[in-house]
Amino acid sequence: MLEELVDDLERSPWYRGQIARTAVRPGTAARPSTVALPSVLRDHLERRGIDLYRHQGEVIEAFRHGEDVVITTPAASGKSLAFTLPILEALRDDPQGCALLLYPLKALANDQLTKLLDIESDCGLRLGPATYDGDTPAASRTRIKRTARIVLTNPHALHQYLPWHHQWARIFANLRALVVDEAHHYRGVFGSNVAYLLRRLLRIVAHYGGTPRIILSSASVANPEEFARALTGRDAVSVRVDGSERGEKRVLFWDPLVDPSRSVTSQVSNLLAFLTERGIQTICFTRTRASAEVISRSAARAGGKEIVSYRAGYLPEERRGLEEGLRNGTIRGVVSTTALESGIDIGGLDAAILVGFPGSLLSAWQQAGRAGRGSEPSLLVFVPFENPLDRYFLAHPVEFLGRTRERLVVPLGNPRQQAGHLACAAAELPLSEAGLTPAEAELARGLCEQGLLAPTPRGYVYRGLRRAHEIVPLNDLSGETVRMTCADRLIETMDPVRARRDAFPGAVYLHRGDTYVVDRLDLDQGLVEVRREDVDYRTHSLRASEVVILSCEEARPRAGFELRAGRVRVTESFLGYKTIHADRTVAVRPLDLPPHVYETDAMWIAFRDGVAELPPEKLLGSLHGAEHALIAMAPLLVLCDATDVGGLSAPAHAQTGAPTIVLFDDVTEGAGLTHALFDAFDRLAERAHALVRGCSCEAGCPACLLSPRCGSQNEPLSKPGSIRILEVLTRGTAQPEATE
Amino acid sequence: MVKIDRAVGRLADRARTGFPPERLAPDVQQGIVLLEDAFPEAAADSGGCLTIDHRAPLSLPALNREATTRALLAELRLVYGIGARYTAKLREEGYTSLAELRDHPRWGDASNALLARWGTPPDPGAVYRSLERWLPSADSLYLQSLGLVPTEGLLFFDLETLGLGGSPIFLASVGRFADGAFSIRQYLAPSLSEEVALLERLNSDLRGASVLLSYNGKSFDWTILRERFAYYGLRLPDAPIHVDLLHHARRAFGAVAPDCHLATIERRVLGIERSDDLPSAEVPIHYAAFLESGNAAHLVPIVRHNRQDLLSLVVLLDRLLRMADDA
Repeated sequence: MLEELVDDLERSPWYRGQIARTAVRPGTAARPSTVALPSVLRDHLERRGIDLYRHQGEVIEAFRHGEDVVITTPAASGKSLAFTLPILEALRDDPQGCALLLYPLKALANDQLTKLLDIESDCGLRLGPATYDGDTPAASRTRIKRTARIVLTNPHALHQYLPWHHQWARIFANLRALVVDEAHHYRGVFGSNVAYLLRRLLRIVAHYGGTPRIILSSASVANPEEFARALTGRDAVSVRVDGSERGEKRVLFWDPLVDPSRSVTSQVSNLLAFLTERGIQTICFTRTRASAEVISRSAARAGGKEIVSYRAGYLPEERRGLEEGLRNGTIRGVVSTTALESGIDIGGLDAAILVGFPGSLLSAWQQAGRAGRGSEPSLLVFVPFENPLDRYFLAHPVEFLGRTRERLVVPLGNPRQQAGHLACAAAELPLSEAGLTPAEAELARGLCEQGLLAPTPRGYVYRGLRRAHEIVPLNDLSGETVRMTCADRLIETMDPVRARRDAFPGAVYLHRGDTYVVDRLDLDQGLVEVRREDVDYRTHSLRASEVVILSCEEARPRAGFELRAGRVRVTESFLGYKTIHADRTVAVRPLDLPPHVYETDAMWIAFRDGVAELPPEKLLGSLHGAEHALIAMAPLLVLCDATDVGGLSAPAHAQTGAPTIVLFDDVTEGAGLTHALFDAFDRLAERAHALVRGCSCEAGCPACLLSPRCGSQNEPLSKPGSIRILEVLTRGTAQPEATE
Repeated sequence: MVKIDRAVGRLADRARTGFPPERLAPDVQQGIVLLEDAFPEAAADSGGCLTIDHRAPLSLPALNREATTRALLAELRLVYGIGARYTAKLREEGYTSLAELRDHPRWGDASNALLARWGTPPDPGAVYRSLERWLPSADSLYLQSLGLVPTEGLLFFDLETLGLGGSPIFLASVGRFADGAFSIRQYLAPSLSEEVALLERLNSDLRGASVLLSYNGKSFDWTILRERFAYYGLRLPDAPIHVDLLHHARRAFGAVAPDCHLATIERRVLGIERSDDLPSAEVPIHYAAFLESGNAAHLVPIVRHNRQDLLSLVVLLDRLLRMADDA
């Protein structure tokens, strides 16, 4: 059926041969689980026509054996049921037992609550599941704390409630399970803050005598066990093999450049119209809300049927309307930002279109997972934009389709973060020296000296004049939070580095699919004021960086170069910004911002002799190009945005005295990203090499070397020189490690 | 070490922002004053907590149980189902007391049950539970019902903490009438290591009291107390009968006073002038300064301030009771 569909598509009048590649992922048969369940749960599954899969059974069994579990099977594999069933069983066996479920966003917690209420009523259980967060009405709060056995909340709320832990004594003392769902959100700085928060929570739970098992549920990552350990401090059993039934997935790799006369938006609109006309329920993911609306309107004009656009922030009734419409078929097409990547039960659809690579394979496959009903075949269309990462996948479809996922880094060990969480812990329960590592003990002593902690026979007691939980924010590291507000409403908080880089006056800023324009940036007050506006251009700052190497923590000699990782000090000057419309720079304006000096993590490559044959006038351009390629491929290996990594190239760096490329974490104090790239360097270099070598352009293009974020306007760049350098970097892997 | 300082220093700065720089109160001497010299009258208990006693010639108007009982019986709203409307209606029909209501076809059972719960003479706990169930917190019956307990059973209390929440209690005052005068006892923790001993002393005072009186204690002091008990893993005290005079002050003086801070009520209504006192917001800063410097001169003004807070509470209750009497 899908083959006929594609044939039809190719015969359409507007089709110009854009399908560059086709791949078919064969369907898989269900691998059922033989695990025995209590009859009340078994009957419920029967009534709903649900069969249990092997991976769900594995989670149940591991949980029964008292293990922590991290499940990373793909989207739509029934992860939610995989952790709900063991919880229900545990709470049925223990009439006092309780469970706590943590969600990164309230909307996701509410989605899960709906599922729990449904099971509860269908099974005739009495568990009183409830969400408890800032939206919980005052009248319900006492009742929930007193009687609820399942509580759903989010890290920000939990952070504020922990000091009042005696109000949760019953739940903590009887806690059988802690579920951390959508755990892939907890990466980077936010992730490490949540990791410390979880450690504080577990400490308090232990104080009340609770001994919960932890279940982490996450989208697919390369390093589930490492991730689980980083987030909770405990080892977890990894369940990753998907036993669910999958239909065949036909993947079309669409090259919009084949028809340069039509924009990506217009080509996608045709595609969407084509599919919905034929009754194929399709979801289309875009990067911005503006383009979601443009596509849904254009698709409707092109003859598409019953297409709606969707974004975050819809009221519950609107969401329910969408779910209903998709379920009963009255809505045939929905165009959305990442808001519909997870949560909200829309069931499976027939086709998914990805407009632009969403930044990670994790996200891409979450989105792709929205298409596919059981064993029915489904269609996935990937439509790349013109940037290195998107075009890379077009040229290397195997990478897109393969099982590899990004590593999720949770950087621990930042003393400033640790100090904050130690202060919070001491405000929750006296902090005994016995439970601290030497580094933590040293921090605690430092906190005493600064008057935040008092040593007492029972441990350190917090004595700051302001509440610890107010001065320790979860979302950032430096504490010099810059708040972004729109009409006095808080939209986001960010690091001052990011604020200078992405939220300068006049900048176009993207937040959850909506575009905003920055009216004012006040770094002293830590405030960015923006206004909501749909614009058809984007902006990019022009910066110059200086990097001073402070310390080298690891070194790996290679053939022709040295690979190092350590700490650097970056001085970033802001020169101005440019306005870009449809990939063309239309204006350049000056900026008046003070230079930013910060310390961060970094890795660097110092060439010894491998680049001798490059003409000196081409050296910088070659290094620069290689630097761009490496940064462009970074998100393939580590879960981050390309914007999280900064770079600098120098033909003769002051400290190394050699041609050098530096990659550093673009956030104050660092987040462990470039250190993770250092660990995975060989794979990074291979991909960067493949990217540039495989590009058919002459001198470098947006698909390989040109970066829209380059602070020096992509000058100078030498494509042949970059290829040469990247060759050296990959050649280094074949050699045995040279000793000094 | 430098790395630690930087990591911690920022946090410490943030902990201090918003607080006025500490200053010594005018009557504090220069030079380090030792604790025993600052409070020569204080005694230290086995837990290390300092106790400072004081007596003041205060008294309260006599409340008698008969008058209280009459007032209680006249409050028909204490029966489940009877609100303002039914009260008016029942009065018209000649029912003016709960005793008379016992024969009412509709409300008889409920009245009987209520009076049985109260007992004879009425049990203060049962009565206050009824009040809290049906009456707004500023109703004068809360004050009148104090007549159910002997004056010696009233315990006034006030806490000083290092902050708003999750903060240690370093100073507490409790006061009660005994031997014809008002006795105040203040517990001062010379360091946070003695906070537990302070809490334990407070706990035994609370256990021996019939009714607790405070200013904003229901929202603040009691909550903090429970929090600190939980912080040290001590058994939480049961909530005693607690009358919060803030609610009553607001009702009585809200129209004439710009706000209901105790200091404002003191000045505007009670006519109490404190000389050389420091603003409440500075109390924690002075204790913190004492911890840093070891100079007990910082503690003298805050002990005095805390003591006056408690004395003003008694004067306030006296005024409120007289006003209720006149009404």
